[in-house]
Amino acid sequence: MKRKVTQFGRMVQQWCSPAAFAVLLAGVAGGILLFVPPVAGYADNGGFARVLAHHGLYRTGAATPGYLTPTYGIMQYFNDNAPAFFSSQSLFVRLAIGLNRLLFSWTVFDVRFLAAVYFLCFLGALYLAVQALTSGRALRQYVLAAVCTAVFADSSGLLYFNSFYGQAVLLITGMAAVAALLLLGRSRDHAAWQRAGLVLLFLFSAGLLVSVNAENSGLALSYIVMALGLLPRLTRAGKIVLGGALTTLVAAGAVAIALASPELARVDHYQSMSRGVLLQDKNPGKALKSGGINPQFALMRGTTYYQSGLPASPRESDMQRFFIQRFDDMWLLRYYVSHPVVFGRMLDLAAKDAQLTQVKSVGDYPAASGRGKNAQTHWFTGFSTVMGTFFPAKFAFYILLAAFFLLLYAIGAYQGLRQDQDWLVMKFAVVAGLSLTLIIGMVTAVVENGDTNLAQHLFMVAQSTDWLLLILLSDVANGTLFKARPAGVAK
Amino acid sequence: MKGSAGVLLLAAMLFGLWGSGRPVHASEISAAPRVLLVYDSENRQAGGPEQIDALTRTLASLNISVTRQTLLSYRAGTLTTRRFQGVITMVNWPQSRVTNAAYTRDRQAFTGRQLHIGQNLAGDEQRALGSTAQMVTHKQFQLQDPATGAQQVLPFMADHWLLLPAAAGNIGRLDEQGGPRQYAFGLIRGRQAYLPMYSGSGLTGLLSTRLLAQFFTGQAAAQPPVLTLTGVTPVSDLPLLRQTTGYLRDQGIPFAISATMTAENSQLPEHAAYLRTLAQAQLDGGTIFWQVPVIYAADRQTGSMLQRQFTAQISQAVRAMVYPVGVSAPGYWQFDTAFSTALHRADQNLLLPNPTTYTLGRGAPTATYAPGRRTFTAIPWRGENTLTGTGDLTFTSPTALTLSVPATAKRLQSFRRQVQRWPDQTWRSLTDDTTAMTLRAGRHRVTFSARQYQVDGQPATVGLPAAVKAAPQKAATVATGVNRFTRWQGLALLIFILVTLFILTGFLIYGRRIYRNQFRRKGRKP
Repeated sequence: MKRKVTQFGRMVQQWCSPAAFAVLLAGVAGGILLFVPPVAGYADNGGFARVLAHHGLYRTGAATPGYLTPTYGIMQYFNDNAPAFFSSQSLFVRLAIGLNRLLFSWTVFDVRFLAAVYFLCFLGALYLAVQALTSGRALRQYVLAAVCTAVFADSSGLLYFNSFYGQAVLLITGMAAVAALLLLGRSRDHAAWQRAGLVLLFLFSAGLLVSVNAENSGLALSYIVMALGLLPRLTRAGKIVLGGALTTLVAAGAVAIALASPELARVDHYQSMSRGVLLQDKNPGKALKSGGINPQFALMRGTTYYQSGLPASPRESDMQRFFIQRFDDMWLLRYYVSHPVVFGRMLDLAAKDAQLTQVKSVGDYPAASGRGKNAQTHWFTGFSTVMGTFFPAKFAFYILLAAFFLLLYAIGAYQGLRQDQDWLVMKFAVVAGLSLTLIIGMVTAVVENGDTNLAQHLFMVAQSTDWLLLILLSDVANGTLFKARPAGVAK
Repeated sequence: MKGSAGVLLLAAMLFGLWGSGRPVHASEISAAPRVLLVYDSENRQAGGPEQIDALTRTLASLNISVTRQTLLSYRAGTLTTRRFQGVITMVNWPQSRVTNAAYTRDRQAFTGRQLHIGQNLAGDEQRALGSTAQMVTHKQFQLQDPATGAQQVLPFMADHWLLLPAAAGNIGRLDEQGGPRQYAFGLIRGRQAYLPMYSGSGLTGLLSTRLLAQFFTGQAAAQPPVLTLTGVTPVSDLPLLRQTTGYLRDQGIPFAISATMTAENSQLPEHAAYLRTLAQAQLDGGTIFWQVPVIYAADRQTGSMLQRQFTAQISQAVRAMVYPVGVSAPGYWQFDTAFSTALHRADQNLLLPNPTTYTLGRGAPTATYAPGRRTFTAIPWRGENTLTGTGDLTFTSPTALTLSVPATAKRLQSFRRQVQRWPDQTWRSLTDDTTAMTLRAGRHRVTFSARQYQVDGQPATVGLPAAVKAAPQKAATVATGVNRFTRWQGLALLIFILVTLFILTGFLIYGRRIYRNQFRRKGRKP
């Protein structure tokens, strides 16, 4: 019996690398979740309308709040009220609609085609990620691969694939960008064209990531920090090219901000105040007054932009003129800097939600599945459940975590510089970028959106935490914390 | 046959149930004439929805119960003298030439009062009016009101106008600009009446209302309007609001305020400050109307949500010596059962023009509205500035001339200019009202009669509540055992993990040194 198990293990080792193993595992787990009825995904929270209208899709039946809509209609004639919508998400949606037309129907769009497009990209990214975190084919590497799958293919993230939220793109590109950099670090294993491909993949993924929506544009900074690790091994020409590419990255972020829909910007702006500053300040009227705003607006505390039953509508021109247009991001930042206690409370609020990655406010199943309204899936959500339950929910902890990682990998980078091992330097750059994401992500979410929909706004924080923990795990398991792995082992 | 009888019985029962579900005030229904309003199209481009809204609000202010329908949805047999005392045919889109044979037949057989508004006057209607209509094109007219001497130049009409020659007894006269011809504006002949156009404001509105009052209620006594401040919300600029009401007090002008309220965030000093300002407005001679909140999406819960908000807000207001005596709402609130229930919680209503910033969603639409005891219809005061020849506007139905409360010092200037523009205007004072008007909010009943507010039957004092200082109150920390534990364990875990990680890092570095020393050659290098 024991021999048979060993024999089977050998066979797996021979035919299936840890990366392929992870892809297989994730393919089964995710495939069941996304494609086998009852299909699961996140239901609409009101944000789909723009994406649908822009891509010529429409709801065929009455809206069923709390339930996933599995099929949409495809507009047959010129769509003359397509709203302006700039997002890299469009690439995926357009591809999915094309595939749907080719293989399924010209009039009905099955959202699973979108899921398929996303899922294939995701599996590719997962393959690279596991490749980057494992080395060799020892049993330990398969365990590592399984852990990676549990982390990245957790349903809380995959559920985005059957919906029109931009987070699906974040999940894929965030994985691919970091994986590409980590693989580059081991570039002695790779041929020149592979290296060039990896650099391109990194730049492409980071570009898509920062242009998904305006709020992620700030993350361009994190990815620039990550890319700085490439510098030591670049030629002069390479450095210039990289500099150009990074400038493009910043530009992509800026374009995403500039082309954000004014309506959405107003919504976020209003809620950054009503569900941010006003919510946590003990005396919000005073804060408004000292900021040059009519203190009576403190009475809008806790409301949202589209809330029904308010005494005054945020859409009215006076509300816009005397409240929403009276403050900008600088106003908010100034306020938070001068009220560190309030800021701390808001950040703790964010920290509390950072690891609660499964969006509980919307349902996961279609109405036809027979499950209740807002029913949640529990399939393959072990990792997110554990993180949500046990991860310390304090902003201070995230700061300390980032400091700890920086310290740890700075030691490695110092060694790397002395021993001329670029990989250690690069890893430090990646860790620094990820740590930066933790902080930037939470600060932006709180300043820009207050406490609304934190699970979605903090998506990149959760992913960066996962990456940091996995990198540490991989380094500890492989003993590569302070030294590069011997060349050739990876193959 | 048997089956259809059963269906009919069921329908009758349902109808009966539906009827009994609405709050009905015996005093108002018996007198209120019922009128059917049939319009051909909304014709959004030409501002049709606003006109229909203004017309229904005016009818409500005349205490007329109105049922509105489009021409195409009219079903044969609807228009009978048993159900309706009158019918209004409104043509908003003459080019469309929409017809409904069933409606034409029923209307011709109808012996009640018939009013036609707009073009496409049918042959039998013309005959009933007793004169032949003339088609007039490309003319500009001056509208005259011989009764008061008011006049207004109407905008140039490139459209075709179907007009009847002026005759004795017509309401308003149209004088051709630069020509000798005169036409009738409103015309009543027996059971038939005609209006060439409709608009809620200006002299046309004034004359149309007079015609509607004369034609459907038989009386057209002139009454002064109520000056009403609109746009008053908890987030208004309070110092400016105080200045405004103080100014009106100094001018000796009685006024009403249509104010929204909130029961949320009542612990904030701004909440008390708002109610205090309303109490001040009351002292300045103001009467408060409770304005309904902004409803974007109406559904089954809207009715109960409205009731909850209303009860909570009124009881907070009463505590702060603010006594709302009526309910004000946008016009479309008439045509929804949940909304009209909210209106009927007060004897006195104010119907405002429909908002334009959001779609007017109704959860339980209905076609009929039976107005309460007294309904004011709102007309923007600035719209009346085009009138000349009179300094004192009177109306034939309870009317509120509205001005939005100034939000900047500049707008306050313009507010004052508007008041000074009409120095001779007389105003109706609701505080001198002798009829008892009641508002019912849960267990509270606010009544106003003979200059005295009463809450739940007890006389209530009008005054200013004590000003609330912005005292930094400590947020009550309700920490249950579990709560405290989770908070504590989060911190403990944080410290524990950090300490462990630091120790591990130390070990890692230390162990590495040992490991490396194993390979280091002892002694001096060769």
